[in-house]
Amino acid sequence: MTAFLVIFESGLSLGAMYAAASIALSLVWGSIGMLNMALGAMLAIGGYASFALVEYLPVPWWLGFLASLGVGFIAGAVLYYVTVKWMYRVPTFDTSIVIATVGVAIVIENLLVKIFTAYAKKQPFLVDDGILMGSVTMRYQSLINLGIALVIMLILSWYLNRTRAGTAILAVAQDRDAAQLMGVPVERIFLLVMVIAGVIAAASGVLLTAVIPMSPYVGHEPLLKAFIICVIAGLGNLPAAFVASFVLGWFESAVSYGAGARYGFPAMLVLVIIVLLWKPYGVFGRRRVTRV
Amino acid sequence: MATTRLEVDGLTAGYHGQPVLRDLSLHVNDGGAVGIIGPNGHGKTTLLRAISSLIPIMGGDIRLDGASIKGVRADRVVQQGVVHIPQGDLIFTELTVLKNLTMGAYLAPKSEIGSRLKGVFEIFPRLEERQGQMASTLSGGERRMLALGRGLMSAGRIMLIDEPSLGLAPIVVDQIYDVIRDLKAEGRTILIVEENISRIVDFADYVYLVDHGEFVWEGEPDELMRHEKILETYLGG
Amino acid sequence: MTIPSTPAHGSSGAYAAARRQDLRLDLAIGFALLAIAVIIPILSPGKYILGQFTLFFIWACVVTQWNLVFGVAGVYSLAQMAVFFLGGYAAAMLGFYLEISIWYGAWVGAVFAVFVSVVIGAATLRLQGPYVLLLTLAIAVVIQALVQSDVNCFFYEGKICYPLTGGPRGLMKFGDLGFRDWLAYKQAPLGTYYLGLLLLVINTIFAFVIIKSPFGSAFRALRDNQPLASSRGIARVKYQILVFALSGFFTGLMGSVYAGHFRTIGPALLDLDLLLFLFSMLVVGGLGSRWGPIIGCIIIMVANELMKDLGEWRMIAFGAITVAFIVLLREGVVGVIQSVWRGYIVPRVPWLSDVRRSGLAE
Ligand SMILES: Nc1ncnc2c1ncn2[C@@H]1O[C@H](COP(=O)(O)OP(=O)(O)OP(=O)(O)O)[C@@H](O)[C@H]1O
Ligand SMILES: [Mg+2]
Repeated sequence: MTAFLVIFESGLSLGAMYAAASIALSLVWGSIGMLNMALGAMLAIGGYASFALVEYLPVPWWLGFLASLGVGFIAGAVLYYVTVKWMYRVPTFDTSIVIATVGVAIVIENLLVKIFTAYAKKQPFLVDDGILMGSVTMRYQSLINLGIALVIMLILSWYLNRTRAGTAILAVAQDRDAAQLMGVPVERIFLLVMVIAGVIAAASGVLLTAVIPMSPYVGHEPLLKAFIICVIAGLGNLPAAFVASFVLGWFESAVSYGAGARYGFPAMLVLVIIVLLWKPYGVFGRRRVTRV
Repeated sequence: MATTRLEVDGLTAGYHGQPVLRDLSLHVNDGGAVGIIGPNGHGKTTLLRAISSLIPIMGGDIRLDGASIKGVRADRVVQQGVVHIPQGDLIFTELTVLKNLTMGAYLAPKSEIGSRLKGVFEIFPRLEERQGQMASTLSGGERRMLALGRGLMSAGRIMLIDEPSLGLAPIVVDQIYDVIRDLKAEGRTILIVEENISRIVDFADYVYLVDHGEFVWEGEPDELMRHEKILETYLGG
Repeated sequence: MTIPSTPAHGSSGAYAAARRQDLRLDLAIGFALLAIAVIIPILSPGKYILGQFTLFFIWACVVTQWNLVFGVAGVYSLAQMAVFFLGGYAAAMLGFYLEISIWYGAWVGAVFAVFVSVVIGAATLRLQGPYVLLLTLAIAVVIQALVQSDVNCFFYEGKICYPLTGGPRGLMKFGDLGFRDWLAYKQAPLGTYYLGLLLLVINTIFAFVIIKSPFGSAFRALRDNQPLASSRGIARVKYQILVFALSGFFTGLMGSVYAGHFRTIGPALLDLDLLLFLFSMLVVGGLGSRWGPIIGCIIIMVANELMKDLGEWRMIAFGAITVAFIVLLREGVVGVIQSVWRGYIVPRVPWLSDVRRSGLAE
């Protein structure tokens, strides 16, 4: 019973940590066909933005959090103008963009090292307490992360399903040419998607760095895990990405608990390798669509 | 003397730097109905895609009301009143019928959507019944109705229609042509690609024949019917 | 992308003439570079510079092989360093545990690398572009994670605990290439220098032959138009496995040379930074081109040398260069040189343009 609770608790907090990042990754893939390798760096930007504002300005933590969303907004737009805008028509876009975003990520991370040094920092947006569940403590921070991830998912679903711009995003994702024939300005929609992803990534970055120490490279592992989650969910499938975040969180916890912490991450990677070999488009995946 | 709405002038266009269309010229007058015929894979769809700016113009020019659309983004061309109803099933399969239709009115003011929707539902009551259904679950005929209905939602002045009768039962085709005829009667300008020779002869007032990306014949429909050699070569007699 | 694979128009005689001219040009460039490389040690530039050149030979070989897979065959594999690492590691393990000389271990390592490479090549067959990147990256990361987190003691040396794979520190003391025993101590670096040079020459000739052969055309056909190529009856499976096997062999061999040269090999070889470093060579040189890997390697290594003291700015510059090339100059430096050559120089030199005009349709 204790084992179950331990795995449940740590899997839940892991899942909550990765859910928002996975959604950001999945959204961009589904609608632009872009595997955004700079997502890890965007998580770091969010974390550092909140940290810097609260640390160097007389700003309360919640304002720091909100302002970091603004910084994420700008980061998404910059990424669009530096890469996507010039590349999306190229036939090899889907692979070139991976390389381009890796390059951008390296630039951002090293800039963060220059500005903030590589030493770990502590996120001000942090709740230390927890409640006792049997013999296991459920941290409030995990519950907050879970709540915010849920809110992000709900707002995004509402936006995509209920607004005109959201429907246009889905239309572009399903058939770019047909959407253009309806008069949808594809470049504007891409910019919109990048900006939304930037905001979600920033939020996710703040949540993440509240749980693990913040360094410029803090986004590497979450990025890889978000990949795994999205591949298993089928890239572009948002609800499946959300659910898969938790399933994978529990899987990782269970492996760590049973076989030792060093096998948690490799086990996930092996899982994704198996999934890719077995189902080239992910377990719930089809080719490339955004679904909500 | 009718004014020229759409003018294609020495157009060369294609994919990945390889021309499919070579030095093509045509014009459509205001309120006119022009048909394009020709064998499969000879560039009919490519021509419509070039007109709606989905593919870049490699040479020559395309003019709407005298203004060149060379290098103009596709959505801007739509803004100028061009409606392209694509061949096959370029509907949004993962959206509902209703959302597909509202996407058709993407550029229209919000206040107009309701009345246009009503108009489309009057023409295609089937779509009204199925409005909550995912477009992917529609039958072939229903999809074509949806594509046409989506085009009607945008209320453009110039309609580019690509093979509306392809693979449909004659009754459905009749119904679809009734709608297209009404559009013409309303004074819209129509450029239509059609393989079904009798349909095009009934409907169009001028016809171009494409072969290997070039026009090899043009003229009035009844002239075409008298032209045995063409009928034999291209249209199986 | 940069080399016309088949003449679209023009007589075959003129085409053959243009090909001969290409070959002459390649040979001229090759011999010039080779002459410079042979002479450099005679100028006794010092141990450091020689070492950097040896490293250049190794990376140029690795990038040349990567170019065959990534640029020519168009299979977007990021597992290149994993193949390199495993080839070298196999040789190092044999040297460490069985005291087999690296000269023999290298062949075992190369065969092992072929095996690994073929498995990866087979695994990526069903996948599309970005999924290939993901899968191969996942494979590399798994290998690194497993070696890095290997901390269980396999044996003790004195009081120091050694994991089976050496763990994060990697392996050491597995012997070396033995040049210090054969040559005078001062001359030893020359041994690895010329070995590296020899291997680079072999690698380059091999790659050129592949690119120029019918295999190369088939690969290009596969890369540029997969549905069309397979409908033309080009067996994708066969060619993809073949390219992975061949490039795996040379890549694995270079892993052993690396291990023998540095007398250490560890999981840091699988760092993302190093992967990007090598990848920027590929991109800057020109993906899929013949001279791209060597030219890219020269440019990036010189840039690296110049920026050595810049700390983070060095990585920032590499990131920015990679982005700039992939966004703006996707044909790389070789592509730019070729456009200038064909668009500017050839039309102005009569004897060049005669052959070109009649032979090669652009
Ligand atoms: N996206 C594309 N990329 C490359 N070539 C294309 C593309 N689309 C069409 N083509 C080629 O262009 C040529 C003309 O195609 P197009 O679709 O215009 O023919 P069509 O006359 O409309 O034929 P159909 O009657 O079958 O609809 C064909 O040879 C086709 O293979
Ligand atoms: Mg067609």
